[in-house]
Amino acid sequence: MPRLPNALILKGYKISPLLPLILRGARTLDSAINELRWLKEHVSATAKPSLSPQSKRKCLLQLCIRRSRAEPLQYILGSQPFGDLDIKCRPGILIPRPETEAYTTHLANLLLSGNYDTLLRTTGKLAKKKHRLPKVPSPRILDVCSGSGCISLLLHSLLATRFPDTAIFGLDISHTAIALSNQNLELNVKAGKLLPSASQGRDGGYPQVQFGRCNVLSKYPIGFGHLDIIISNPPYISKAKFASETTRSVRNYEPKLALVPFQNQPFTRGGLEWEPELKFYDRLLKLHQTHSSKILLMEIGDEEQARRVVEMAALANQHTGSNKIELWRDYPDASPEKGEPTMMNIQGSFKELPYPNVEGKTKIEREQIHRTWNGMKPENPGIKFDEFDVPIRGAGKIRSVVLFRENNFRKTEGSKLMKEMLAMRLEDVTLCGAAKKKWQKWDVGMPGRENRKFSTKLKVEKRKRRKKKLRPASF
Amino acid sequence: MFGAPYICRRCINASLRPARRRLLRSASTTSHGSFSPALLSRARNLASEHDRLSKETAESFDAKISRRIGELKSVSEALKEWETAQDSLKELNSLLKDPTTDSELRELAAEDISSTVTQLETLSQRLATSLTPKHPFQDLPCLVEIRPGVGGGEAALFAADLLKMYQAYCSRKGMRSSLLKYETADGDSDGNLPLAEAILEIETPGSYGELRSEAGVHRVQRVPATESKGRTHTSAVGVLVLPSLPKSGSEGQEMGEADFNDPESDYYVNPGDVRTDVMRARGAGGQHVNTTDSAIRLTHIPTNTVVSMQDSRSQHQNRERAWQLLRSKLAQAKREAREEEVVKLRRGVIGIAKMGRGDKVRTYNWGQQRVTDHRSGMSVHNLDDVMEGGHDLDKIIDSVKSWLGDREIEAMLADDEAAAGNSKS
Ligand SMILES: C[S@@+](CC[C@H](N)C(=O)[O-])C[C@H]1O[C@@H](n2cnc3c(N)ncnc32)[C@H](O)[C@@H]1O
Repeated sequence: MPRLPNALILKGYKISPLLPLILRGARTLDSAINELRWLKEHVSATAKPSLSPQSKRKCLLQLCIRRSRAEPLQYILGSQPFGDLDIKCRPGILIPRPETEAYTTHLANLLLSGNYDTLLRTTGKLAKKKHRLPKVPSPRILDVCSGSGCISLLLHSLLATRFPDTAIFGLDISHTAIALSNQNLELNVKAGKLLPSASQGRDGGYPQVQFGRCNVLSKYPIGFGHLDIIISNPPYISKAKFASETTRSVRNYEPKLALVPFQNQPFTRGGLEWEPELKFYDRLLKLHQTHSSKILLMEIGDEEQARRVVEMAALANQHTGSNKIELWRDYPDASPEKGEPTMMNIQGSFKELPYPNVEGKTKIEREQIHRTWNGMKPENPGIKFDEFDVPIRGAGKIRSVVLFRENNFRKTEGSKLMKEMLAMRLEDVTLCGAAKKKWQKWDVGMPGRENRKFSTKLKVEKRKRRKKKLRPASF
Repeated sequence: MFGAPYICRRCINASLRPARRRLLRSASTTSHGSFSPALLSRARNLASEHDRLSKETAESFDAKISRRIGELKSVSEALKEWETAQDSLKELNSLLKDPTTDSELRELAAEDISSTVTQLETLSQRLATSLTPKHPFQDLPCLVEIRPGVGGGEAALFAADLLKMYQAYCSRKGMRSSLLKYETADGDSDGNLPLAEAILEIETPGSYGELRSEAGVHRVQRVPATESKGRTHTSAVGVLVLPSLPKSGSEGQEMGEADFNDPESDYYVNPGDVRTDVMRARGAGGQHVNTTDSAIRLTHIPTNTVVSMQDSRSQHQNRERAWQLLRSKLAQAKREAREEEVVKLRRGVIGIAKMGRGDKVRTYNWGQQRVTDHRSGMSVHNLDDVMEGGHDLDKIIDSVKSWLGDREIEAMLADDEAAAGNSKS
């Protein structure tokens, strides 16, 4: 952390003796002046009116000292605006970022534009049978790694008027995150920023925004029925970048769980090796496939990561019907700045892992080796694709990878994958508190009887397949 | 909006005040209650337009036309009444002149004449009022922008005083006001905050009409608190009054959706012309940083109008406020540009269109406890009451309003004469 120039500190001091303190946390004079004002407003709004001006000033000083130690202002004030919502913040939960706000708003605007209405109309046997289809097609959305709940809540606030049957599920590993997101839901409904249907449902229905606890890396999240949109801001900072790229305030005060994926071994998928911090994207792509969702939006850390995730998505594309891939910058609705490319070229050349030598191994060992080589599922190793261009939209840094399903996912492929997932006997999503009962009613086609039958059938089929050394062509 | 091409851009107050009555009389060429022929012919033209349009809508309804009819109605009615009174005056006069009229009738006629003359005077005022339409922004809420000018820290302090004055004025008048933007020149919160820039939003419809005459340079003469030798300093603060445009057409009093989407309208801003800049985090952004920057800057490229907003922690809110301010500024600028063109065409009469931008309009003198408005020439000697937004401020504002009204009619008549001169030559 470079030292602040003395001239800057002096300049700040001349304006207010408190500014040098804030400057240490805020780093620029402009933001320090604003922060001082917000801190003052906070003190006069929260302090008891009976407090003497002197003790108020002491309060303020205390807050400034906290800020000087790089404690995030959002934790000191206890909130962060997100769209027109106010999101409660507290240590242990990531502070919502403006970039997240920007792409969430942009996504909502795309849906509101009406161009995606046909995408949202659920088709297919599964949908017809298992859901009573709403009259106005409304999106069903999964927010993976929901944290404070900001994405889910903003989407509801932007979409619910136009799509009255919107349903949004948020998943997070952390109990505190789930508790806080439920609080944020209540607070914003109470403040009139969200429609009551968000927490109470419509016409006696289920709450339209629900948060549940789930470790998405170990448990395959299921039980949402059909999904239209999957959106996620997963932890994406590598161990190395956590040390070099994050600011002191992030490093020292925000939860590492929310920033750095705890997976620490590279993993293989499709015969290729992937960096550990990409694990969440692998999971998200699979969720996108099994649920035949129409849009998948994933926040990423930087351009390099974007490239890797696009490659991963392109590989998945080969098996599961085509998805149009886009990259969005920090401000997806702005026009590109000078010098910002609007295309990213992806070359289909990959370094493949050599197939391990399996001579002299037992059948079971061989299968295990193969699985490790190929990730969870056997995969055809020779995959390559032609080089292609991915459009980049907006201005700023590349911030998210977005997939739009173009033709409907080949149904057979989809249900096969789905069945396979069920066969893995994953536990149900662990749910929190009051949402639990209600949510489980959303549960469609999950480990009921029928499915148990499925899984036994599948096991038998799998055994047969293994014998024939047949590998299903799926990612 | 209304009337012949130029009137609509002129501004005038609805009610006539004594000063204006005087002016009406001196400006007209004939006796009480008369009008310059040009003014009268304008009234007749508008009235006949009213009749023609009314006939048309009897057959088919058109929202635009019926709005126009509504605007013309008052002229047409006032003209009719005025003409009736004028006719009866003529009749009475001829009765008087007629030698065959008997003395009793003559007496009655003389009585009637005097009452008709007074009546005619009111009627001609009404006609004048109906002919001088409202300022197009008259009914809108407004934004009052206050910025210190020359005079350094003292100007910044006085700017804060003026802000307080307008806030107090609004609350006394029952007008809802809130701070849209407030930038202090200094972070110290004790006592009076010196001001770098403030924008007061007054949400009450019609506040633009109430306060637009406040625009201009306000000058202060006093001994600053920081001055050790007791010398009086003169500093200045600029006040700008902008129309505040409703966010959507539905909220607007008179403007329809069309006004926002019609490129000809004053309220139209092409989003493609506006460049948005946000404070971007340096470095990797995203999860790597957690800065609090929420500032928004909008640049209207064709006119190079820049507004910035950073008061709120919410970028969303800053953006909304910045757009509101930009719309207001552009609408004002468009109207001013057209007013200026009209002024250029007019010979001999000083334009009041730009009055207030750079002109010194008022002086607040602490030493003499006096406030003088340089336009109306009015002085009050209760400075404290003025600074508290009290009734003496009303007095001053009213005097400026009637001054403005006078200039209005003057300009209108001058235009008429010029037009008449042109058509003759
Ligand atoms: C970068 S934060 C995103 C929070 C929020 N969506 C936002 O945009 O501000 C990532 C979140 O993922 C959660 N998380 C980390 N590992 C997880 C896992 N294995 N399964 C589910 N959630 C996880 C963390 O608790 C954290 O709240």
